[in-house]
Amino acid sequence: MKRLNVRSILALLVALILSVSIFGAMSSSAASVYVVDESGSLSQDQIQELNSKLAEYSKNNQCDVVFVLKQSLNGESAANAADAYFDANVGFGSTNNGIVLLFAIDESEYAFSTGGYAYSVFSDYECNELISQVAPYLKSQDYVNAISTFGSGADYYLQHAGQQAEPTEKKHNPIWAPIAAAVGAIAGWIGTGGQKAALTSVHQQQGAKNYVRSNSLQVVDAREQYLYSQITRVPRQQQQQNPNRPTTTRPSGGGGGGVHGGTSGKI
Amino acid sequence: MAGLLQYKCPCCGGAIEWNSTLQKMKCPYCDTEFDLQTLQAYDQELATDSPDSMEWQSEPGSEWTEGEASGLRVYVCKSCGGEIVGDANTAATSCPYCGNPVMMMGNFSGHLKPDYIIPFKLDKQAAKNALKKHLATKKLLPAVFKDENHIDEIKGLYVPYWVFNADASAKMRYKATRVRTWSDPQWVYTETGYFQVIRGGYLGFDHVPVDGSSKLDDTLMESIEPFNFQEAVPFQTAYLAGYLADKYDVDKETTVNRANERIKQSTQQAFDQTVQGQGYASVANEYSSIQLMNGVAKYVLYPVWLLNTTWENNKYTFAMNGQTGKFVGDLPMDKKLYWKKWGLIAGIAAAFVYGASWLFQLL
Repeated sequence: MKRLNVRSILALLVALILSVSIFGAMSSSAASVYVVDESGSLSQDQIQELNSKLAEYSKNNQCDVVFVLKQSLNGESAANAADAYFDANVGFGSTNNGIVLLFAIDESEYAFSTGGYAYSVFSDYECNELISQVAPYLKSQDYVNAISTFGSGADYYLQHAGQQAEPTEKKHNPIWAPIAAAVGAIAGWIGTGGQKAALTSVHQQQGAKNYVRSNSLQVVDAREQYLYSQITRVPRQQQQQNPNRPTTTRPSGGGGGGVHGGTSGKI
Repeated sequence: MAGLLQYKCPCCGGAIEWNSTLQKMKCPYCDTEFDLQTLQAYDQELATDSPDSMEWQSEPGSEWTEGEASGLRVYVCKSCGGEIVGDANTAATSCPYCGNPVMMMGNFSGHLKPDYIIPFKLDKQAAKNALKKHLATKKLLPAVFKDENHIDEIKGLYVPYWVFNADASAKMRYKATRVRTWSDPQWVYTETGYFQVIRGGYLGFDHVPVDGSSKLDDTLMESIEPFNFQEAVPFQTAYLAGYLADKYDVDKETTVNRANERIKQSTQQAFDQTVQGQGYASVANEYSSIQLMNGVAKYVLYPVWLLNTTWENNKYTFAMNGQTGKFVGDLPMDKKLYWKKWGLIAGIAAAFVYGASWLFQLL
């Protein structure tokens, strides 16, 4: 009895520890820095202010919102650099929710890297909308407003991702009324058809199977002769794309086995 | 005038009948039972009797036209002397005056004598019970039909049938296809191979029945099939006692067409099944030739209970296989009740689908 109690207590403790650690992992953020300035364009105060803003957006949406400002890509592609930073430093909760916008000053190139929940929120459309708002500030080297606009824009899309779909979902298609009527009519016919058919029991016999002499079937000639053949071909069907997913899908370089989405380009 | 036959009880002289429950002859007056062998000897003895000099000749009435009178036959009951009017095909009936069962021997002599007979195994009460059961399970039957239903007439009738034995020799040709698919990174290929499939062989049929009475609906008679010929016995007039019987009025040359049709259909199906399930994607019959060999037709009497009832000026006829108890008969439908049920089911289904569509939208 005593042994059983100790076991029970141990099991409870293990469960508690596991729960706490899982809950911690789910609710914790991988990112500690939300604004990274490798070009030295921003002052410490500016970085601190912007960092707290993006940290708040990240916490509210449970999705890391990170901006990386680089002087140069040093031959690397912007998309790869963004993904690499994401894999190393970003990811909220167990599904690694996060969005990174990386901008290289020398090349004027940008790249989004999204993961987890943000992967489905930021399709090509949202990324293009976001960059169109941020690009004017990046062009004029107003990085404070660029980062601030990126943060508020990302926050807007994250907050409205679920709500945007609602109004269209709530619209009830009027075609359902005639469909329901047609299904009802068919169900009515099927439901009463059996009872109606039961009233008729006088039928002509089909064939004479009841009078076949048992074991009398003898097949003495059974042949198959090949005549000709026809070959047709059709192109393999292209994999259907989900319009809600970004067209750019890249494998994670972080060994997590996940994928990153997001567009990239030059401003 | 055709000769009449009645079986008289050796004990009391009453007319004795075939009892389907006992499978024996039984006198309804003194309850004495008789074996069939005894009555067979009795029957043979009767056959040697000299013609009765008491026979009556019925004078043709002047009021009948030639056409009207030609189908009628007048018999005289040997028990009470009452006049029994039947048609040319009536072979067994009962006297309307004394109720005694009588047989018109002339309709069962020579080439008109049936080869076999299946005796009644089920009695009138079984037919009544079967009708009740038949009506009880029909949900769209007008309630008034059930409640007010009274059977106008129940009669046990030996129906003349022609039964055909034959060996069918068949040769079939089919066009069949086999389909194979494969693919490479760009294309999906489908190869359809076309084959000619030949089947030839034999199939035997025993005792395919075709109704030989023009008075009875052929479809109704086919509906109560099958009859088990294994229980048929060589014809004896004794089996007819207590039942009605008709001689055939549709000859075997006419009925053989229906037998051929049924045999051909079943032969086709049997050989089709030897091709289906052989890995073919499709099979279509292109040619079939069926030759019948060793065809033999026999004249038999099969037991049928016929029940008639009238409702709203329409006559409804039911039939029960007197051997197996299979009961058939089309019934009227309560249209009001039908549309009520239809509306209820349709309404529930439509509401369910419409509700589900809303739910689906909300999720």
